Amino acid sequence: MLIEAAAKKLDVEPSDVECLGEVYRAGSQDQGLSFDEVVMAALEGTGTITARGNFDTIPESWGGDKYRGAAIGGSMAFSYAAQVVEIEIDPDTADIHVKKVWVAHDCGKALNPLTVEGQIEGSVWMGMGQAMMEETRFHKGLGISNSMLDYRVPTIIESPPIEAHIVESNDPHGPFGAKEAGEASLAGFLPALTNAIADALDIRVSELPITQDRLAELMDKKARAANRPATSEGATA
Amino acid sequence: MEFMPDFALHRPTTSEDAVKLRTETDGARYVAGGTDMLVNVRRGIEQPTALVDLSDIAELKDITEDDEGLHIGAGVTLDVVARDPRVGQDFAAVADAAAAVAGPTHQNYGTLGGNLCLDTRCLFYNQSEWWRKSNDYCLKERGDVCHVAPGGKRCFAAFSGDVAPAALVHKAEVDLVGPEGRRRVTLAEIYRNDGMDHLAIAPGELLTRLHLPKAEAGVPSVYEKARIRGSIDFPLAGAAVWLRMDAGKVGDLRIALTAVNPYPHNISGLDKFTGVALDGAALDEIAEMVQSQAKPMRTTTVKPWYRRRVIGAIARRLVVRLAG
Repeated sequence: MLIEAAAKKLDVEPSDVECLGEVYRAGSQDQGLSFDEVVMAALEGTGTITARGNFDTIPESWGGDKYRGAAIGGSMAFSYAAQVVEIEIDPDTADIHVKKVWVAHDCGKALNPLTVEGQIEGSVWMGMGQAMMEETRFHKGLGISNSMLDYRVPTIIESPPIEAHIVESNDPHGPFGAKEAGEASLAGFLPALTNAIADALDIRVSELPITQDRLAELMDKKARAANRPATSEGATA
Repeated sequence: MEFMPDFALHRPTTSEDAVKLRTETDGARYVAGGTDMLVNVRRGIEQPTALVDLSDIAELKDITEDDEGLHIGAGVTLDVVARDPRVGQDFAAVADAAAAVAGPTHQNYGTLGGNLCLDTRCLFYNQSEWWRKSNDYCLKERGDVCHVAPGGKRCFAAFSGDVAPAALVHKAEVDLVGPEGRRRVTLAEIYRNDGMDHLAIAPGELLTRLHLPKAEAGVPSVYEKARIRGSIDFPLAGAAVWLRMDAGKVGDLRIALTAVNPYPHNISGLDKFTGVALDGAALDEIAEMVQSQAKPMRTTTVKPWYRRRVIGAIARRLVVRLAG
């Protein structure tokens, strides 16, 4: 469609139009048209440009013939991330204060590094919500956390300093070598937090979100098992 | 979310006119900042036929100081209370409490009087109209059953204002304007232990002013609340502590709680600590007294036993902090 529009504008046959990424030209001497100009030329004839296409991930990513049910589909490329969470736990209130988070994310080629960093930071917040406070609960089948007051999403006060590191690679299956820049940084927060809790308190959390009441319960249980009162010294991991 | 009901809006300029409109109109309600009240209207909990907007009454908006103490109009917003240096220096717990209410935007709108007269809260009450209807409503509103304590005929909805306990430990008083005229009572007198009807003020009576007595000024005080998030959340449990030390021993100690009873509760029996050194055993005993007088029920998603545990810990910690 763009080639046709460029040909019309340059007054040549479509087969003569050469597309050089962002420049369309009809011959080596020709100055050509920029991508923007070609798009505008195409819009003149048709109005909004629509196109239809079809894409599926490579069969190798499906995990065999029995791949079923995933809404998004198999991944073209697998990203990797590592995460470290530093916390401080209040021994009296069981408040968890996330002091700092470090994330390194292999997102393939970072097409827009600033956006990638933003994605990583947003992922950490989302992970904090899942790990620490967001929960849907029910009373006789009726949801009881129906508002942004009761379904608690972290606020800026909970937001720790986040050190985001982009680890670039070049994935042959991804667009321009890119992979993804969201999920891995999100998924890493949960185990990193529970590991930090284990390191600080020697308590292994198996139920999330680890709200203050849940953690206090585990702390009390441990103190009872050890048959001594909970320490009132601060614990840091 | 329900549509706003049809209501007439009145905007009187004096407290007396406000009281008149409120008492002479069936189904009229006062509205000041509206940060809590209008949410209840949109949830169908309140269905006012008339709203008496208090925002144009000059008397409610000033802060004055004299030999007797500091006098804060009920219409003063919480952010102003939190930032006023006279409040911060002389009545620190009150400033702490105002700054702890919800988030900054609520503090910009919400008023001192609104926070003192805040409706009690419960998991089964602060829900949408269809939700409450599906759950056959509750004792506090249109229903016969308390879902917190089925079988009981008492409502345990928790008073969840932050400022009241802080003002209580400073022995605050309030002015009320009603159809019978004006009266001044202690703040403690306007509350009662009933989640359904926790305000012991006559229908239509308007709280116009909070008096913080000079005799209480400058004594160290502090307020802290437990919450899941550092902002927005109502208290799961909150404690205000006021402590005058005397030669290394307790001279006078007051503690008041919020969010663990249907009213802001003054801890009783603290006189016994007068003249006592605050060692570990005394602090443990204070924490136990606080825990035994706190009666949190299943009114939030957070378990009552945690709220009881944490209120003792917070009170103990605040006493230690004030004792220096």
